[in-house]
Amino acid sequence: MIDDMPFPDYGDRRPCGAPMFHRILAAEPLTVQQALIDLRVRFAGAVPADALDRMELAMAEVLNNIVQHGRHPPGAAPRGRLPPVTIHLTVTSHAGGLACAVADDGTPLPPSCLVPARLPPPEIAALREGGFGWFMIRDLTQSLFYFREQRRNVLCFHIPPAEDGRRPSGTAVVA
Amino acid sequence: MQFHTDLIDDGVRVRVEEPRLDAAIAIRFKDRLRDVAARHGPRILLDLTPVQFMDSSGLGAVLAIRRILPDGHRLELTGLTPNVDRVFRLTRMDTVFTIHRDPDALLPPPAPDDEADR
Repeated sequence: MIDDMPFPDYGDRRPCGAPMFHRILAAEPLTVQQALIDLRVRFAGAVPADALDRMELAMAEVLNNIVQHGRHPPGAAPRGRLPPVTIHLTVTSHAGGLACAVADDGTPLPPSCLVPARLPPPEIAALREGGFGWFMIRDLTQSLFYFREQRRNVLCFHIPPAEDGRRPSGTAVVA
Repeated sequence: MQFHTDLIDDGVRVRVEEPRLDAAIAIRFKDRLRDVAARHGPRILLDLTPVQFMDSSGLGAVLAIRRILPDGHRLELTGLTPNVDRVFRLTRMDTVFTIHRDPDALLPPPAPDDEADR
């Protein structure tokens, strides 16, 4: 795992802007859990707590999907036991919320994941094994955007500072 | 995977002593809770007060237990922290469970022997 880099020492001239987080990790439950915990620490106090909560949940669902379904394309890895796919995770904070990008070197994401869909009635949904993850991702994020870049999946999304997508009162964009 | 179980009038109260109910723990959680549900009942009151984060894996584990409860048993929830509550709300699974909003109101009154300062 390549850990996220601390800010370089700029002396008195601190870089302007908010904290960011970048990490390269193996798609495994415990490394994902640690990345989520560290993400929270990195942005605590710098973004509204509620936005951080929504980002953590959306990011957990995105990363868990990669852990669960991410497989190397045929021929991409030596025979035998395949290593987990590799995830590149980047989150930056800005005036309009949190910008998130997740890339992985697994097989392409099925297009159906990104199609807006309604959950079945709750009593039916409660009997199913899953299907909640992408539903929550679509609900929690804005500008959800996917593309395949050579051998990588790239998923980008945005977490607004307030749940209804508006900025909390008293804040303004300074660009 | 830490549980704290208390016998209550009509079943058992299970307090999940974990800060995260996520993909890394969901299977162990499901196995442990299934064991408790098999031995106690009919009411299984799941107290999630210590849980600060839950994802769809944790939700899936709770739903899996609900599906395999012995006949006549029921799974109820209490102590939902805001992040856990959000998952139930977003998925509308708050409508399929009885959710008690005040965990302490469900505690049995202390037996005389338990009173402190006597």
